Amino acid sequence: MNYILHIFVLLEIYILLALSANQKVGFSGLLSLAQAVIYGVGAYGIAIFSSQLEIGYWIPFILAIGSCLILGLIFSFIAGKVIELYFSLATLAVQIIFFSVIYNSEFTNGSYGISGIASPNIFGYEINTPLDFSIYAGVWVMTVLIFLKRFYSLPLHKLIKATKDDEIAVLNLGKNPKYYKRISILISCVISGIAGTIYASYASYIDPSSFTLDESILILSIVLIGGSGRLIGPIVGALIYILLPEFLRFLNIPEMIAANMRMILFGLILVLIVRFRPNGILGKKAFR
Amino acid sequence: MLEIILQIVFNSIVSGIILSLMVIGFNYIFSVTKVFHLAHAGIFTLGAYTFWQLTDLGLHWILASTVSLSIASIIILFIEKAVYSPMTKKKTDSSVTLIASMGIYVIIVNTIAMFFGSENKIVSLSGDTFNIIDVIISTNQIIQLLVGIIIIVIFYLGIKLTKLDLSLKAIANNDILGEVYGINSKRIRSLVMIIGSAFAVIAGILTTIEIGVEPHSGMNITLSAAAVAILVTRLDVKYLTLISILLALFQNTVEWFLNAQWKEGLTFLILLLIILYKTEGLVSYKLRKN
Repeated sequence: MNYILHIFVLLEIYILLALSANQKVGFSGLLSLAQAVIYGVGAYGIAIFSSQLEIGYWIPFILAIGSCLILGLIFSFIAGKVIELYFSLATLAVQIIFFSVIYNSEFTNGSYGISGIASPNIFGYEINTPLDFSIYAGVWVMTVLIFLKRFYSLPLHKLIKATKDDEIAVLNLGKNPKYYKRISILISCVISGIAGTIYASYASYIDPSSFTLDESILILSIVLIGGSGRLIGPIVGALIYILLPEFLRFLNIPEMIAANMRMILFGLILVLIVRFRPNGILGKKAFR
Repeated sequence: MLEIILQIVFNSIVSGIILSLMVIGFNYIFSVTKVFHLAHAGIFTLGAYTFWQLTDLGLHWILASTVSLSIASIIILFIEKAVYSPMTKKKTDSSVTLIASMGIYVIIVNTIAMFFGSENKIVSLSGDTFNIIDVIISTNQIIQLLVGIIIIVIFYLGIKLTKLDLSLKAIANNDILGEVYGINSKRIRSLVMIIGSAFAVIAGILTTIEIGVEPHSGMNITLSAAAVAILVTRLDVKYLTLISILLALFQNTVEWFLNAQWKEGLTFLILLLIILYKTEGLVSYKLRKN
């Protein structure tokens, strides 16, 4: 039972991460290779602030999300300077710099990582069993989904999508495209940051290996496979990624090669999707 | 102190030459096909592992290298025909092609890890070392240096003498206009893919004889190669080699005085600043101002 709950918590974390990436990739056309950076800042934020300040859970939580927002401002500065491939490369650079910093710095405890991370505390009730965490993460997933659903019907969101399709047309309407990119990036950062805090508290131990370039590519792949630009796409992508190893277990593939097999299949699906259905399994048809 | 500096400079020239093999391959592929070919890392590992496996079976190294090169050529041609070429034809954004390339990298590396495991593979040709003015030099380093320089010189003279250089630059600059002037851009693309991958395979083989290769070690050198490709957008073997050696010198200095992990962080910090403030790169063609 605990195992199923563990899978469930992971699924919920990846849904949040994919929704966050979807906001950038699907609606603003910003193919960022630094998804794991914001996830990492959320996780390290809660770990460091809660152990250094020792003032409960929620103030460090707000500080961690605040750090993600500051990082979001840096990303929106980059998005204002360069576009397309060069945006991807700049975020790739940020990802590698971030990994170097958390791997080598004293305040992140380098490659040893940080253990004993605080758990969320709601009116005196400490959340610490897998069941608690699956409900806690589930509440966050629902909150984010409801927020995004509301947000997608706002006129503001139409302008965000318009910025992706034609920046100059938005400029002609007298609107500043950089502003809409920034909003999109900041929303994405908050969602990733929340996922990071959930992961840190749930695992109660984090080290740099969870926030590598591979992780960033993985999150991006989940969105691209599920279908970007729709609410349901990232959820389907996360389901495929989490359930794939269970499916392999069902086929009786030995444990030794199952991990590699999972990545090979995932890579294959990714290549086939971007080659034949660039908008994902459930993606909308591209506007020509 | 002096001997440390000399040692760092010598090691940097050797690793810089290997890096420049990766850079030349990567840069020509990127300029001509507009594919940010991160799967280059996979080809590097593939070449190295095929070479290791064949020499392990007792094949002579010349035969082993030839077979490795052939296998890599077949695979890269398949990738080009099945993925890259159709995507370019559909005018897919190059950042999406980058993702496809990463997918290919994941497939190649995990397939290798599945069959051969993740431990480091070394093909040691010779274990001798000797000293010249306090600098420790191994015979393997001399082999790396000589093979690398010979390959680069042959390539440089080859493209100059056969006028391939001009066709490559034409396609890199404007493929449609190039076709109007009678250059077969499809053939040039496939050719560049094969030559570029051959460079990666040779770099992989040269790495196996000194420090060895594990499935994921292709990515670090490819990221450095990608950094040089962004710094030098001009298709010029001389500049590409020079900047590669300088980058290797920078990385080895950082590695010596700080530690190995900071070298990538600092390389990419410089790269980030250059992307933001001089997107066309440090060594580039002069652009016509509008």
